[in-house]
Amino acid sequence: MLMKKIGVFVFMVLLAGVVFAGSRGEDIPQRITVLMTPSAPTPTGFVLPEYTTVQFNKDFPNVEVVINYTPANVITEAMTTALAANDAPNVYFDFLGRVATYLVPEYALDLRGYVRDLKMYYDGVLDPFKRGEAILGLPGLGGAQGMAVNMTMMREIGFTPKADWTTEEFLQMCELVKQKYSGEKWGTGMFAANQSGDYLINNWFAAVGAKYYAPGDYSKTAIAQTGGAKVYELFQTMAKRGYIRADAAIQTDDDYVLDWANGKLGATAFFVPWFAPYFGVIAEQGNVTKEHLALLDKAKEANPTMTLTNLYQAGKVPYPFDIKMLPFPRGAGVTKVPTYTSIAAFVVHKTGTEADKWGARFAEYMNDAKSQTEQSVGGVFPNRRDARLVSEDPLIAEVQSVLANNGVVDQGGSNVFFQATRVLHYPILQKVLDLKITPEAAIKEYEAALNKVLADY
Amino acid sequence: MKYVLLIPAMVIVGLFILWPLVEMIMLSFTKTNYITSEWVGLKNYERIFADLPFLRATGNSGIYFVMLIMMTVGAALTVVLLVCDQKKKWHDVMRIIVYVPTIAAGVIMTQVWKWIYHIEGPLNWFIGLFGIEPVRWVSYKLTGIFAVCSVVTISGFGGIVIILLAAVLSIDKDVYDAANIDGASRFQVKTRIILPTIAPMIFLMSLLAGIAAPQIFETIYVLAPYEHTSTMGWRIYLEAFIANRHGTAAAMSVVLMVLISGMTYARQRMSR
Repeated sequence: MLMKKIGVFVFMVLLAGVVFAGSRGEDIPQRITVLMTPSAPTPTGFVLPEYTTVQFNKDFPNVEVVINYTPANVITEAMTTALAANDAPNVYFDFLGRVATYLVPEYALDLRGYVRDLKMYYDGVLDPFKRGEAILGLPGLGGAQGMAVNMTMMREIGFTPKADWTTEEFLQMCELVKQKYSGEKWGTGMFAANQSGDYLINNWFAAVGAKYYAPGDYSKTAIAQTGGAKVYELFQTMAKRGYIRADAAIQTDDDYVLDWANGKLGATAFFVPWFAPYFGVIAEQGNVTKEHLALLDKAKEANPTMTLTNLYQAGKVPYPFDIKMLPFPRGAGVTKVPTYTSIAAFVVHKTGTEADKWGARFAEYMNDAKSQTEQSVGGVFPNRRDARLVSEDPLIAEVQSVLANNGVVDQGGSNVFFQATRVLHYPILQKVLDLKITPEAAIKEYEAALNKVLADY
Repeated sequence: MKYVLLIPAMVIVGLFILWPLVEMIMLSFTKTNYITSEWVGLKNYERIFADLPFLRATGNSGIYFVMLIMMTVGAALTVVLLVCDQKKKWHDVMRIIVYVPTIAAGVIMTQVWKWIYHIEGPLNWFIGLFGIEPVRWVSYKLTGIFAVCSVVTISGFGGIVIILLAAVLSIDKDVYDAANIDGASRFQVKTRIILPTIAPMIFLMSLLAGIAAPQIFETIYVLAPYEHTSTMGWRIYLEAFIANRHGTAAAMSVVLMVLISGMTYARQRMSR
């Protein structure tokens, strides 16, 4: 019996030894990790991570690059988990609003002296990444949203939207959609299940003239004083009249974009580079014409991996319906409605080791002139003097016009507090869309919640 | 020697249970985003006890506690009492039927229920047949919590059925024979013999179902991501991963742990 006990004990010790055996004495591999969202090839076949890795390995052939692709809706969780495990990625590449959390000297490497082409960036575009003199990140390509109008639907309802349309005219359009399609299609889309995609909805504040912050002052919000309640009045008007889905409060941004791609919405905020992928998604779900499938079959004879998304991106298959990009409609007394821009960004983790140089070099190649030029085919704007916009998509030109004529909306996106403020809106928006709160009470609640978080930073 | 043999188990418990627990408690006294940390003492606790969404989630968790026990244990007990005096093949059929939702992916199950509870979904179509106006099931507190509980019940009561059925089948056959000789009806057998005999097991299942209530997460994530349907588990996720306030999230977790420990202790005291 004693021998059996000793045997069990020895077995447990051996088991523990195997489980906790370290790699002491082994060579520490030369490796950097990159956290980013999945990257699709551009219409010309350019794949960003592949290009960057090849360039990087020319300089550092013995350094392995490990890229962790993580969907955008859980990338914050992935980053948090990595930090908690003291295993932060050397390079984090994502939407600026999420990256901004890490643009602090305790985390981010000052890229001066590491990135060799900082002078190639346009004047001012590095400013949001500066903390004092230090440059804690790099701006990637940027896109701007506009009001994407389904022109096929507009013709069917007999409505002609103009570049200077008003919110009253927008509501008229919604009414015509309701009359024509009686609950099968809607004037616009709304969602409030969580904060993801909130910029699509939050841009409506600018439509009624409300501002998140007074210029340069991020210590408190100006959302209530600048008339934010009017946007909730507008939303509740749409909800009461059936211009949006009845269950908008629990719709997600994914539901919204698929509704739009399925041709169910008259006009919604959207980014041009999203069109092709979402039309591709609905095609995969079976919502595709025989003509488009025939074009795909023909393209597959030359390249078996071809998808409808590729063909939409390359302009070889027309979109399922006609689109026009317009500014958001203007509320009473509003002359310009600035639009929301989404900028990608890089942050390199400061480790005090050789990996700092590797991470910075990887970020440099990821955002160099060739990379930016190649990616701009998809409709995103370069921010370097040595890169050019090669998109010939007329919709991109329309968005550029929206941007040039109306400016950019400021939600404090490059500030460290931004991510913490995003979570505050959707619970209030849910109550607004479900008509359970007055516009005045809702904006006061939002203002108080924003100011409480801002006071923490 | 007997204490030496405990060492491996103690190491594993210490490393994987006690150490994280201590870390969590320590975290609850800091303000941290995992980049910088600052010792804030009890401020996180002050903050969460003044935080309306957390207090609502705590209150909701109480409602979930009661509703989930009533629904899961009630449904399981009903099924068990209906089939316990049937032939064995009906026991097997019922076990399979009620256990299938338990092995199905929770997210997919919830997605199906999202469609059922949709404003234009089959449930509203059904009540419409009786002239009742469509209900926004998940948009209101009580109906929303009921909707979440119904999904959790369907997904989880199969396990309780199997355990309670096993408890019923383990009752000595002589007891039934004695009851028959005394002229007891089937209803009396169920209410006077079966229910009192398996009462400790019903009580245990009730507490296990109740303890799970404040931790409901995926059903809320998919079906009803509202403040009025939130549980403490959902609130902790939002605080940690969306608002990036890990110290306050840890403080919320400590409160949840204390509540669950209290319930577990109460169960042990009452079952003695």
